[in-house]
Amino acid sequence: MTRPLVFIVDDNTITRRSIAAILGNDFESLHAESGEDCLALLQRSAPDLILLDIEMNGIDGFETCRRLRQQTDAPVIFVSSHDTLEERILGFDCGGDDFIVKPYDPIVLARKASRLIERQLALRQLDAAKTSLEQRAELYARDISDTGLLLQFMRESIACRDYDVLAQRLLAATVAYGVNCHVQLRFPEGPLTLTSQGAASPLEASILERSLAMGRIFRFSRRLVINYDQISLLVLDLPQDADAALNIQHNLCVLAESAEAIAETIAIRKESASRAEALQIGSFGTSTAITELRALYRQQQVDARITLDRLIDAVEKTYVYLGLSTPQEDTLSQTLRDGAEVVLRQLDRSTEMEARFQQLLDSMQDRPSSASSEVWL
Amino acid sequence: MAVDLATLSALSGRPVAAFALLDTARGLASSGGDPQLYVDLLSSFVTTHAADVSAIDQHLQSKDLAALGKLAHSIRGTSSLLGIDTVASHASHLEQAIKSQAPPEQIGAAATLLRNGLSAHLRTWTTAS
Repeated sequence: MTRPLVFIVDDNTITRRSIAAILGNDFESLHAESGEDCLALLQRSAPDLILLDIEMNGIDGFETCRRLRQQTDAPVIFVSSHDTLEERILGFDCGGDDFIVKPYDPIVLARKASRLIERQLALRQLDAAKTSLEQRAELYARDISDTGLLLQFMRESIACRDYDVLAQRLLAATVAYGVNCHVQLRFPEGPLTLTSQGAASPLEASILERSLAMGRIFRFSRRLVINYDQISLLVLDLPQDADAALNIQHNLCVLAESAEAIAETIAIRKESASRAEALQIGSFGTSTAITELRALYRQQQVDARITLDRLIDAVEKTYVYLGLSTPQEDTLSQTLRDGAEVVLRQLDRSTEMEARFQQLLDSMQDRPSSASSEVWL
Repeated sequence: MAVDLATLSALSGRPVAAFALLDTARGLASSGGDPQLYVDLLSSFVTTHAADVSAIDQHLQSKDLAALGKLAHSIRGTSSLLGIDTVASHASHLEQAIKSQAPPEQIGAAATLLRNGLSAHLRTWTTAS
């Protein structure tokens, strides 16, 4: 641990050496012969205590103390033969902390010096703790604000159905983080690149496309590239401060990752919509085919009946030439009619067939309508 | 401070008599208990105030009481620190006389006492080797 530093300011060498000897080896001391020397010394070193004579050549101890107070909060002990009440009061008014009268008691001088240095070091520790707490509070506040920006982006974009809108919101979030950024979204219809100045030039778009080969995160000077499968960010002006730059990098990574997830959701919605459309077209074709099939079946029944009737007529007309007896003719006709009846009965299951056709058509019409399928998009 | 006069004599190369009239306990305390530093500071006192005997004479002649008072103040400070009690006492009397605007003859007497006391101390310290 470094020893506390004491300035000993006195125009008398003997007094300076005496004080230094009394303080001993626990302290480091720097000597000044005058107030001016003391102020010059302060430009080079930061004392933990100043022991200050009053009567000196040049500016006196009181004026020296006033000037010291504009630059340091180190405690000042006046060490002087001047011991009137007025001089003591003036000493305190000038910013002094204590007063020791010459000839001083070495033990009292050493104790007072030690106590003031301890107090000064404790104050500095408190001050450092306060600064550290303030910095931490500021860090938390910034963290909350960063998280707020991310949440806002998520809330606005979670139901996003369009790549253009997602790209715009992503760009707006990067602007809110305080960086100048190019945003690229890649989807089946082609890449979309935006900058804070509007649509990207072909050169800017090509830089982003090339940066894909550089891995997830790539930094060069104040630029930063963040690549995900469908999202790329190119930051042009990272903060100079290393901690601030790292913080921005972290926030933008989370942002890009969230945007990537939303882009995947958009892709799923779009695919789902196109499948539903294909299904609707397909089911319309199927019901048309079934209706046509039913008409064909009905026609076929009618045709069969007519054909069988004509067949029986044609056979009966041949009886004139066949020379059959009347009972034979009757038997033949009856046999034909019975056969035709069996065929027609087999064909004539139309009620049952109609019911089946109707059932098919009904089930086709029960398919999800385009309105209800929206729920899944 | 358990430092005897013989030790101080040996360290300084001065006879024991040179320390006879000093409050060496006081002087050693002011030197952080370091006898070597004490004898160094005593030497330094002689060097610093060597010219002050004639300076007192000059200020008396020119009746420069401000300069005389300042000189007495300075001598008192260091002599009391080093335990040179006779000199410190004379310096203190002169300072008080000037501060209280005592009659000139009283100031003159006090100044002469300081002059002689300082002169005696310087002589003892310088000629005894």
